[in-house]
Amino acid sequence: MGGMGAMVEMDVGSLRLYLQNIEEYVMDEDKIVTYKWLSKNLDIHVNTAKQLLYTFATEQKDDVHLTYLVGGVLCDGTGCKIQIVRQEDLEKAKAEFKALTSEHVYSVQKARTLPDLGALYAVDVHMRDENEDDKRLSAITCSHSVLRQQEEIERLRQKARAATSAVDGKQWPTGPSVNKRAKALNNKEVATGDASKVESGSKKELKNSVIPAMFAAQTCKNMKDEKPKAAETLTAKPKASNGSSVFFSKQTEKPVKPKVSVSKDSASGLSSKDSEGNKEEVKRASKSHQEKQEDSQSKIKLSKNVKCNITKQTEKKGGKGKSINMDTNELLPAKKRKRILVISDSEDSSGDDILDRDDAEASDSSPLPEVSPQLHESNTDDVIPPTPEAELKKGRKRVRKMKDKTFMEEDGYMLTCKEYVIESCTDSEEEQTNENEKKQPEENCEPVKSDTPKSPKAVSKEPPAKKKSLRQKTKQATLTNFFKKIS
Amino acid sequence: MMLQNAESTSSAGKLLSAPTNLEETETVYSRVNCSYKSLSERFGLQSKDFSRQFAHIYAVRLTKMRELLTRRVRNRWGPDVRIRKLFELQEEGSRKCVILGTIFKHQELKPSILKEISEEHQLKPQPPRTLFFDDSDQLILEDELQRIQLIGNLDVHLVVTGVVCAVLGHEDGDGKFLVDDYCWAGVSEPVQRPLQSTDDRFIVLLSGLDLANSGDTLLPLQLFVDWIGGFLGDMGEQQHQAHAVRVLIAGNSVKGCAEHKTPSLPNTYKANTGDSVILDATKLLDDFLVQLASSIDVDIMPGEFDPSNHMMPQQPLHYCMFPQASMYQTLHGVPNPYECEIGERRILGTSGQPIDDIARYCKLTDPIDILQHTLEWAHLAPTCPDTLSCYPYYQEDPFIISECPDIYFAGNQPEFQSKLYEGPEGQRVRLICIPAFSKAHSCVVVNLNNLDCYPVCFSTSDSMDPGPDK
Repeated sequence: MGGMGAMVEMDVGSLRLYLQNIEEYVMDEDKIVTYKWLSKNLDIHVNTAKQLLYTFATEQKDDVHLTYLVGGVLCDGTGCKIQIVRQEDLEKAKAEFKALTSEHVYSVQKARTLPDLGALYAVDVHMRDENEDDKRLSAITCSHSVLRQQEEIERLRQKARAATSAVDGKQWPTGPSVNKRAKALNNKEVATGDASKVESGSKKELKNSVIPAMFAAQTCKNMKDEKPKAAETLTAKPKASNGSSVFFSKQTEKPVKPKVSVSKDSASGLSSKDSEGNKEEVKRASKSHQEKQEDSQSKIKLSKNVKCNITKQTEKKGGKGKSINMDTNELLPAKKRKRILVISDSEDSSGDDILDRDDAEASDSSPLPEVSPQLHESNTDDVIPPTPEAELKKGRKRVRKMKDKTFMEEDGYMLTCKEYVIESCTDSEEEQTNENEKKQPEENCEPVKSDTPKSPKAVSKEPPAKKKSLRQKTKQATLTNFFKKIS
Repeated sequence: MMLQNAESTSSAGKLLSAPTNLEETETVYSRVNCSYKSLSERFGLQSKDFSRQFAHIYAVRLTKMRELLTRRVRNRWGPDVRIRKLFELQEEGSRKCVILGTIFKHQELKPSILKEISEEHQLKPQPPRTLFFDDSDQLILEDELQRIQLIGNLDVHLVVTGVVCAVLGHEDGDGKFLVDDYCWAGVSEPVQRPLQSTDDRFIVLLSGLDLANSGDTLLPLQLFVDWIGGFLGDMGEQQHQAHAVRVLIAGNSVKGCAEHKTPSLPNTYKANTGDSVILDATKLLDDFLVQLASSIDVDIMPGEFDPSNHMMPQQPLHYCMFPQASMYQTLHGVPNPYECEIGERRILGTSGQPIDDIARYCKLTDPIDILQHTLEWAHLAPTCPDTLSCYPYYQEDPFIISECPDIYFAGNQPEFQSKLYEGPEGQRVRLICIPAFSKAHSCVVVNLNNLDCYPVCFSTSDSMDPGPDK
């Protein structure tokens, strides 16, 4: 267009240089050189690149082939069209246009015929990944296409998490859906909306519980701070800094509530390892809820180390590890069961009051701690009545035996008689047997008779727990027995 | 209609030259700014409570449309015509009066779960149907309390369930209502909006990218992105492009059609299972969007097959799906249906689901015709919630068109169609059916000043028909 000021010409040197470059690309490397690729490579304006291609092509004449871009208003009034055409089709294509708005070189290549013009797409694709600056080489700039600030992005992400967690909180996570979420936690690094929603889902579960919420608040903050940081630090930091809170949260964890347990494990860390442990915990928690409440109760009071070891084991092992851990849980606190239950009763009921959940499981769990101590109390109640006599020590197995009794007669002669004596299996009551002995010469049959009807009852009424403790004592007793018999 | 003026055509071919006069060829144009206001708040779902019945939507619809209709009825049939509720018809006897209500179309062939279950016993295999109208269809008008069957001048095949209308006629002895004339709510009064600037500004509408099945769509799409971004074309074209203010992608960007359920040999190497295809398509879309967003404002709407919720109104595609493109402030996720105001022009549209649904249940076949009908019925999606699933609204019906739009579009239609609808009170609405890009490789350019629109096709000479038909 006329009326411009002084023409800014490209100096000959750089022109030569560019043309040489193009020659290299096309002739030596046998590339397809599109204007866009050229402009990115040489860092020049796209229009200049188009002109350079044209200049190159006219110099080389028949050695290279071109594709053109034509665009304009169509003759038949159906609108506009932008089209890539081969140079041999150029004239035919131009004939379709009523008014041409664009015509320039699109690409230059050595090949005589490009079988598929779709290959032109592939030329520019890989360049896209490298930098985002290609827009500055274009002919249009947009003033408001700016990048969002990092804080804004963070704010959006947190809002998304909160929004989706608000939704998820309403739905009670059933078994499979919780697992799905836990599985999705594994794919946290995948940049899909699901990841943020899943995390926020687990976060909401965090927020729902109150006792762990105190610790959750701390962990949440840490999580929010850590989100922008690298994933590696995520694994390290929660474990390190939240160590104490992790312990506390694990202690107050109620595996009867799979939701809470999910949240606990999410509190412990967002790494993929932990999320696997999360999945295991969830499965374990749901399983324990269904089957063994006593075990779950005992699990609560396990030492911190044991608990952490178990989670670590679940992380490392797979499902097998999980089942093994379940067994170890059962074995270890077998002894402590009674004591634990008594304590946990108060703790659980108080915990439930504080939590004040509107979920069914709160009501489900509260009867549970009451049931088991009641069971034990009833056990003791059952045992206590049948053992009224102080002489009959609790839980001893009474056996009627024939024994030789040696005693002194009035005349000073020693007599040995065979008598039926009720004595306990354990021999620690020698006093009792001595008492029996003293009574027996006078009333040999009666105490025996009176004792016999009662003792079978006592024997039969004994609950298994008593037998166990009996067995324990008998075990111990046999040891001492051994020594006493000798003496 | 032609937007190219002398300036743009004169520079054609200028770049077929040596690189002299760089000042001229290397000019960089800055994109025109334009005011924007989103009016789609009513389509966002605030609370998601699915425990309600759908009857509430119909009740709200009737109440709101009654006000609009009453005015129209007075205009059309005189101020002294009697408007009656259905329970008052007894008193009327055979006198002419007007009744208002929602139309219910009783269709034998409409898919019904009860019929499906009962048919199981008869074991009659039915071929899968796509069109559900039949000559035996009947129209029934329902208001708040009663319903009555309509016969007469209202053609049963040109309406669908859910439209609120007013009919003039009288009750015949049979308990049916004989219709003499009918009236829709129609477009509301035009609001005179003076245009701020006289510059040419235009928006670009696009739909149906269908990147999951992106065989030969990629090069045309790249051409489109380059064209918008100012890479492609001569200087005039680029200058012209600087006047494009917004790109609106109306649905089905990730996926454009349902999966094929063809029986095939079990493929143990599952390369093309649904999830991976969607993920790849989303990544591709992100790549294109980041190029687009770096130079122009982009609004992206979800479509029928996009990863968004199924019920209308569809919520915006989450920005996490586009990690690169969402870094730009120019990328906006918007709901389907979508309403906004760009440069004082009100733009309203959907991704095409309501139009497709209406086409299934009545004999209207031309999409632009259906679009016009929905505008006259003053409702974006009258078949919601009957055959098109939608959220159970309680006290609102966001699909009612209460204000007259300037541009009204529907995406994912088989071909480009456009019409300038002239309303009875001087309203001018540009109706646009946007073709699916995966088939037509074309977008629609709409001039905001004079509401002209034309399609722009992107192709290669390979895809040209070799036949001498031009």
